[in-house]
Amino acid sequence: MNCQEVMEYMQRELDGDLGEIESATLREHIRHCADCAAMYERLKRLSAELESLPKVTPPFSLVDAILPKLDEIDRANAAAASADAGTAGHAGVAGRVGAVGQAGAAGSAQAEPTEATRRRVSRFNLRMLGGVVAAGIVAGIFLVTYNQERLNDSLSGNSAGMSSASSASSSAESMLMMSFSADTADSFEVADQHGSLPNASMKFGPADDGAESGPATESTPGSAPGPAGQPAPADGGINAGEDAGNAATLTSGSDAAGADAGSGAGESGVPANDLPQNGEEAVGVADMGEEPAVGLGEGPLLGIAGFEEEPAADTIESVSPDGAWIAVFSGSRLIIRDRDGNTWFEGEEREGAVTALGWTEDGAFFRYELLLEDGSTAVFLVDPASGEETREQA
Amino acid sequence: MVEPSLIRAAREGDREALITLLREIETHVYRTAYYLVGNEQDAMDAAQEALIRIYTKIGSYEEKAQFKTWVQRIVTNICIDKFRRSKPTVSIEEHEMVFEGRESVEGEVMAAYAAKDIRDAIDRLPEHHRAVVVLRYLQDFSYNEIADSLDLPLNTVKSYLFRARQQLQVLLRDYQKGGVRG
Repeated sequence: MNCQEVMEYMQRELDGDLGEIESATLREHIRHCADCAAMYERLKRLSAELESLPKVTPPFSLVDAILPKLDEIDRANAAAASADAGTAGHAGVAGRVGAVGQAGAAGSAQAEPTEATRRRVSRFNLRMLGGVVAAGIVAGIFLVTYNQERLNDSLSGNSAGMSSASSASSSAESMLMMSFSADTADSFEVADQHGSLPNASMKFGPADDGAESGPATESTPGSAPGPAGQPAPADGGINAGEDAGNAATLTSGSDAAGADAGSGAGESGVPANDLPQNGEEAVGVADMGEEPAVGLGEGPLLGIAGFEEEPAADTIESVSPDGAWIAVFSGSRLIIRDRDGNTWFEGEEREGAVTALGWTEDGAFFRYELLLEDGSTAVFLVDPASGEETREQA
Repeated sequence: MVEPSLIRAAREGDREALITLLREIETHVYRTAYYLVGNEQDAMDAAQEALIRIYTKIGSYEEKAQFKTWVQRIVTNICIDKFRRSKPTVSIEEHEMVFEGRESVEGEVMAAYAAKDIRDAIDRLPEHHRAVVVLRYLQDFSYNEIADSLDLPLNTVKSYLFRARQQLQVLLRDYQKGGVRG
């Protein structure tokens, strides 16, 4: 057994990972090898020092410090749901009158005692999902009829309608992608809890809202999708409506986009900050009712931006000292980009784990080390400017 | 460690249970953050952000994972992503990896390393090496628990930990000799 192998034994011994026979082998080697004995002493001392590092505690209670924020989050979720009620009413028939009417309902909902807040939050998310999906359908229907009109208008083979349709589907695709990159756990949660097909939620959403707001408003929730085509564009919300519509219609099989839109609007907290506490509910919610396009359009985006899942820990980034280059490892595959995001170097996929990396001081070369499957290590030097990679002699 | 029943209640929407749960883990969260970001202020910010994320994400915690590794995953990710410092870390280069047993122990001061020196040295490790060391020594995590927390393969965890210790040992010896390497 050579000293290099003994080194691993020493390391594992520090972690209590050696079996009896291995321990004996280690002791035997150390007895005869002064260098290893010295190294082992140093490592043991280091390990003991690390073990006795101060067990620091926060200077004051962190939970107490964040309690106001947690309340705000709960309120934001609740308020976003209320905002959704306003949005649905608005996108439906009632317009401003409806929104104000809804505001009453939303206000009284807020004034309820807030026990079991979290349960309500999840319920709200569903309702919100329903609302967003409903608004999506509304916009989707509008889009379809709009396109048909365009198509009819351009009977002579004019491609305006077609291109409009294709741009719609391409933006739909991007929505779809976004929804996949979002937190799937949340989507699953919604699906698990309610187990309902998106179609069911779509019906459920507006109906539920209608039940609450019905007495206070003139709106007729049942007919929401029908006449809705008009108010949506009238507000200039075409783009936002389109996005929401695409998300809802194209992913109707999977629920994913709807759920994301829901949690996005719910957790982003944007509407909540605008929502006055007392007395002014009507105005506050009415204000939000006037901006359904903003809420809808940003919902999914904010949801993703604010709550992107922690990136996989096997993605390693290293910026060169001069900031000109960014080396990114995804697994053991290296990509080097410049600061504008242009890719200059793309390494091959190798079997192995990155164990060391760094830029040369002048930032011209990137060096990294792979621990290969066979236990050996390989060191590579990359010159991003030329896109060349050389393997150094170990 | 934390009562499973408390975790379950928190997951099922019991806000009081969730708050109690956060109180129980806040010190662990802070401790990791402190050693990862290297100063009290940023550690407070990172730990608070982690607790808020746990609060909002508790529903996505699945019981098949250990709660403590799930928590540590959240806090290490926040520290690594958001509190990434511009401070240069040592690159763990090839020449430092060669076996360093050649130097005689004689003449070396065997006094304990100053705690501050150790913290400085940890600070200079690359992020993931630092995270492995912190989880091993400040959270008493096993190789497997570290692998779960950092989403790294077991062999990578070992390799990071071993190299980090070698690196620390070199850095600290240099501190003792009075020379600080760039």
